[in-house]
Amino acid sequence: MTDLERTVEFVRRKFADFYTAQSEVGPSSIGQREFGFGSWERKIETRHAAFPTKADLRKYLVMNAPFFISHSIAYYEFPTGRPMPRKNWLGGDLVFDLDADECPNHAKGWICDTCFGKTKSEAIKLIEEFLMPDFGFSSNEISVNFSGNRGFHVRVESEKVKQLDREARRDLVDYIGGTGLSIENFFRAKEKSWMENDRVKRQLQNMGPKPTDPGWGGRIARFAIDPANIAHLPKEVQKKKFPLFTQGVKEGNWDKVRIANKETVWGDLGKKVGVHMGDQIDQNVTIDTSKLIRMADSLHGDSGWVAKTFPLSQLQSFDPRKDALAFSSSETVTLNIVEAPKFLSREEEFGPFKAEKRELPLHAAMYLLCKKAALLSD
Amino acid sequence: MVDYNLNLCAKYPFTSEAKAFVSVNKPQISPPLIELGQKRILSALLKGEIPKQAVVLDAKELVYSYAVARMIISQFSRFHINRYAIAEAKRASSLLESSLRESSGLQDSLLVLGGLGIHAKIVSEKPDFIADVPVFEYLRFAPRSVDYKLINQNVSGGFVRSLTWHKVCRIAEEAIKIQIQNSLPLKIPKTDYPQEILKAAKEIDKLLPREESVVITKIPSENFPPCIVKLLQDMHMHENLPHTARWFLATYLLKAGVKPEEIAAIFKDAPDYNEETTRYQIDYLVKKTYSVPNCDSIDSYGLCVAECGTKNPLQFKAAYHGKKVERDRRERDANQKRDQEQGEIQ
Ligand code: SF4
Ligand SMILES: [Zn+2]
Repeated sequence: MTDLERTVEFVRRKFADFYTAQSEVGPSSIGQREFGFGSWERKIETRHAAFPTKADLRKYLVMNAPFFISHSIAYYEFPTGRPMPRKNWLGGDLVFDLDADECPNHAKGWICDTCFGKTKSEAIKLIEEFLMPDFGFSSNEISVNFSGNRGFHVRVESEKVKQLDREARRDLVDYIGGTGLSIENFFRAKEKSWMENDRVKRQLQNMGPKPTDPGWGGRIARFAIDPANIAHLPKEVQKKKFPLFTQGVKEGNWDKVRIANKETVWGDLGKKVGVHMGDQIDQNVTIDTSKLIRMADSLHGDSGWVAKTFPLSQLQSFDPRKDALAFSSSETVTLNIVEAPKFLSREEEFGPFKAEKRELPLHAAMYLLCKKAALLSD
Repeated sequence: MVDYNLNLCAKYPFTSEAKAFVSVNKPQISPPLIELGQKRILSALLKGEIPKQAVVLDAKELVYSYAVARMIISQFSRFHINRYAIAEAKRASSLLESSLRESSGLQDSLLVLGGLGIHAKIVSEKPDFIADVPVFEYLRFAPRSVDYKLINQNVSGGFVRSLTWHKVCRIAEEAIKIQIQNSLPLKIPKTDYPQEILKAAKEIDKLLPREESVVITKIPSENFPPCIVKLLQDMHMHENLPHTARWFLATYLLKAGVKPEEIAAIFKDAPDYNEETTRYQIDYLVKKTYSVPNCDSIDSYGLCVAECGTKNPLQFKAAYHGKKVERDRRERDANQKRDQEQGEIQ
């Protein structure tokens, strides 16, 4: 047996132990979900599997201990059917996949407070500024889980969203990401062609969105009057005129300061706000209704962490390096470490390591093994 | 004995009330009734619309003509079924739109909307009618066009706020279309249809234009990027492309030097094709001279199908075929100029 083979075998045994200790795992309506499983090399190697009950799934997991477990966001009449149309799509959850961007602080695939913190604030923004106020979801319709590696899955399971097709989901993603905003739509005079009185018309032309307005109108107005965003505003309002400008916008008057080409200017501003809000969302998970997504509370084969579900209220404080650990500190393992940056596990700091042999507690060892940064030593 | 609102059933024959009426009071399939059903379909397939003609017929006949039309259209392909459904939906939505002028019109209309799964909440009736619609009902049924894009609506608390009656009716139109499309063809074995129905279908079939859609040999399609090729194929398969897709296709083709008449010919394959509207829309695009959106926008419309490594679909040729294509393009431009000078319309 090579070191690699021994390592894979070791990790698999530990994964099996983990699933043996679990009582019940699996998504809602489990019988209507398609499952996919991944190996050491590939995140999804087989798909089109199905399990009538959670007990059946658990049995499979204990026996096979796959490194990755995914299931469809969709519900199907025949989840094992192939090709896809045979499955007969019945509906799907609404799922958002927020993943950390590449981060200058470390090599690809690892996390630090900076990149993970950013992802976290995107998730909070998604929930608190979009899903709840605009779309009207209550906190018990939304669930969050750690993705198992570098981000979060935010999911809405509700009859209201089940039937949304690709096009509708795309429109929703564009809404959240700020794509396709035409700011003119929020200036009222535009539509009121019935108005004959020019004076009234002129006044109304000024009627733009106020910071207190709902939806994107208000969002843009709030962005425009926030001094932190002043660099994104047109030159005309950047200096002395800013107070006058903000005072106007608060009343819905965007013309207190004359701005050349204002429609384009504000339209572009929309884009800026939008991209900033949207670039964290892996949109395809939301749009493509045949996608598979990591199963909540399963182990992630690239980290050895649990794709942990937790209450919304804990999102702010969630830290996978202590909250998503699956393995103990009582057991230790000796590893040949190829290379690893400094990392935290169970509030203990390890590394950086480079070409060295180390004895580590199981939780930290599993992390390095799954990151493919180390092999078992003999 | 249930009391049916027959007038309402006649206007909106797809409602559950109308269906209940027909299933209890089964129509006698008679030659005049068949003829009415045929008229409904022919007008839908040939003109893309169904006349409202409430005055000429009595309510019962109207409901029955719809029931018979459904049996007849069930003999046709998906393309024709879709085209028929679009015309039925248009008819119903224009009736909805004018219903506010009638005394019980609003109540009736809300009933119809509710049956379609649209639960509009009236905010004001005068001077302007304004309603809020639950956001996910809106998302399911709103037309896919810039004016209806969710981001440009006032969204809060789970509702799209302050919609005009016109917009509510357009949303209903989409819902009606989907409902009719999904309910056709009827789940009846072919052998169970009365002979008269099959005969009526054959008669209609004879009246439908045979011409194969114009094959666009003149357009150098090997130079088109994959997204455009895909749209052309979809169009040819009579897929009902969303508004943005059509707009992008037409805008691209215009910029790529395809003549407006040729573009109009391509759009003939759309299931809701209407010659006049199409010509008007293309003329409008010619006047407006929109620029072709960049690839990332195309991607966000859901229309990008490959990674070409270009910033804009128009660059595709240059990126892939290099100078040769550039030369071809110049040649084509020159030809075009010559054509124009000779006053050729093609
Ligand atoms: S990359 Fe651009 S040109 Fe290529 S398919 Fe996508 S949108 Fe079209
Ligand atoms: Zn980082």
